[in-house]
Amino acid sequence: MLQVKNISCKIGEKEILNGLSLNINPGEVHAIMGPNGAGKSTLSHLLAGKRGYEITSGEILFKGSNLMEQSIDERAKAGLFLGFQYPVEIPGVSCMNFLKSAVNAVRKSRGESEMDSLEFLKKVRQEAKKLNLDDSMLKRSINQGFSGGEKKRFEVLQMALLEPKLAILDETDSGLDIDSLKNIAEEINLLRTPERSFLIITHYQRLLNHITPDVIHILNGGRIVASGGFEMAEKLESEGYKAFGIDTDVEVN
Amino acid sequence: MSAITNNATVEADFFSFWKSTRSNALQNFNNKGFPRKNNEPWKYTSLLGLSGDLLEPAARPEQNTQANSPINNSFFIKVVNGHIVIEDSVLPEEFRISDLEAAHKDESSELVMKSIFENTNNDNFQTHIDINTAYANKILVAHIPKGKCLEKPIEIHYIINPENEQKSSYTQLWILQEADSNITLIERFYGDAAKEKEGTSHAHNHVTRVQLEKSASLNHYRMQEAPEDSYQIYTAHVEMKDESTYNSFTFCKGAMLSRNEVKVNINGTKAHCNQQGVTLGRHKQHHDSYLPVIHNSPDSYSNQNFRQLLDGSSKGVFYGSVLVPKDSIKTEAHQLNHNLLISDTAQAFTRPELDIFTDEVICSHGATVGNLDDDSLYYLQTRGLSEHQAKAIMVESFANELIDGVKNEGIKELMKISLTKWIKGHK
Repeated sequence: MLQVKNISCKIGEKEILNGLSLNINPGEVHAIMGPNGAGKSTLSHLLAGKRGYEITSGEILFKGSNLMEQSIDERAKAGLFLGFQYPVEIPGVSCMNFLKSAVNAVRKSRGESEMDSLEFLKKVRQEAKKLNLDDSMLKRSINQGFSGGEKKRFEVLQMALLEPKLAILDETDSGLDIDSLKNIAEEINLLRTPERSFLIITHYQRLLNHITPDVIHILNGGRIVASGGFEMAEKLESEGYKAFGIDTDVEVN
Repeated sequence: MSAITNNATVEADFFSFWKSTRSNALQNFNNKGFPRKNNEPWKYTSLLGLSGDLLEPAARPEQNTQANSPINNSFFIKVVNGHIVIEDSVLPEEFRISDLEAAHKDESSELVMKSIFENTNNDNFQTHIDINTAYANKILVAHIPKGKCLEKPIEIHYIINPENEQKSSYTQLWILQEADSNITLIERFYGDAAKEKEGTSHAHNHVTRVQLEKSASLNHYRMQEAPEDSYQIYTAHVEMKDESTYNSFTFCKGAMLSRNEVKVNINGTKAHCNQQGVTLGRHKQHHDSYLPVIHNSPDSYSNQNFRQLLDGSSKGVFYGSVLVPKDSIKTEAHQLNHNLLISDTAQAFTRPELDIFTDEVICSHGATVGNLDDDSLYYLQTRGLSEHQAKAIMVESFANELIDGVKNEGIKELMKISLTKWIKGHK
């Protein structure tokens, strides 16, 4: 599904990723943990196509194609989804219009017919209900006036509607209370299929208690320093990053 | 009591007064020309290019000029090159077409005109109005009786048909709404660009005068889609009495140079003035909105909320000037102007000016000028929208935030269609 091969990148003169490699197969759930400044969000935005990153070495293949040659929307249409750590507020653009445009843009690229308004409304309501998102919220502008939890649930709603092949969730658990966390985890679990992969970026074990990942990676200094099973998250939670030889008192990069 | 009967004791001698006013106006214009940039309300806009033959009144075209379909159920008045095409119009009975001769024969028309003019004439040093006064031969005059509510909107189409002549249209619309009357007025401006001659095809100079008596209400919509090689100079004076309401929405998209000047004199308590508008600029267009409001009475309300979307090398001016004089306590006045610059070469000039000379008021003013937000564009693109689609959705939403509030569904629909066409033109 996703092959990141020895990738290094920088923003301006600052090197953020330093020879990072990662291989995610269809249906696998990978989690990335790491201290602040390790490069976790950079990796997610690099994959999504945000401008401003200069790749100095390596390559990234998504479903066998060179991801770096694709524009942001081409990546989304190919099935890559990024759930933002800080979802953007866009005044004036209603959630409903935006969701419909996005879903239809993706469907069109897959050769599927565009959904009509009624069909779409039904689908949105169904998914929103699972996430305890009120219909009235969807009439508002994108993320405007949403609480932290609502923003994250709206991200998961978009993921559910866009049906991606690979979903990257960048700290989707931050800012959530326990009930919201469980609710979101349940929705993510429902979306797990043998074909769909996930890359979950998190600081804490708590989300991983609900979504059992296949592999956990520890990212530090722009590269993966350790990979393993769920026991790594437990070790991290009890012993901290020092257990992996990472000194979090020293600012990385 | 009618606004007219108040003046009935005064001898109705508007005919000779108007004749001399027109003659003086022409002389004044010939002496002074158009307002210059040292005149503060004209700081950002020059009409110096409007000169010579172009100023001459245009003839009525020989061929029939096709009009756009009016919105369902509207009264419809067709005006081509400044000439009212009565045979194609469906006028409400309250509307008359007055010229000097007609007004002189009909005393009540003369009194109506006299009342409107006296209430809305504060045109000192406004030579762009002088030239109109001098050249506009016929005036559309409406006298809406006390308590009359016209359910159907009145739609006036000002159409430019240049017929290879580079000339000007001069039109005037005078409205007196008696107490408790209520109408919806839609003014639409469009037409053809010059086919053979280069440069400016046409100029349209229009003056609207409105007198709103106690508790009268006017919903006023303007849709300016004039050809992009024309000048559009629009001036309106609105006089508001106690508890009257003036709601306006201006959709400004056409013309090479457009001036939208609306003066509101609030001379009544509990009067309510709400002005909104969306301006779309592209290529080398220049749009100027000058909106002075004077709260002459205490306890009145005004609100200005305008948005400009500027692309290409276009320029957009918002100059809202709200004056709250001494003793106008309990005034509430708000001004807001948001500008979105779509290109690097577009320019916005924004000046929400609020002069307050009393206490006990609620007033606010604000303005923003910005580009399309990169983070928002990125966010939308990560959901599968192309860069063009993402920009279009943001541009459309920026304008629709105001257009969605338009109460008349027919004109709202027209504005939305026009906006979508404008956005598609940017592919």
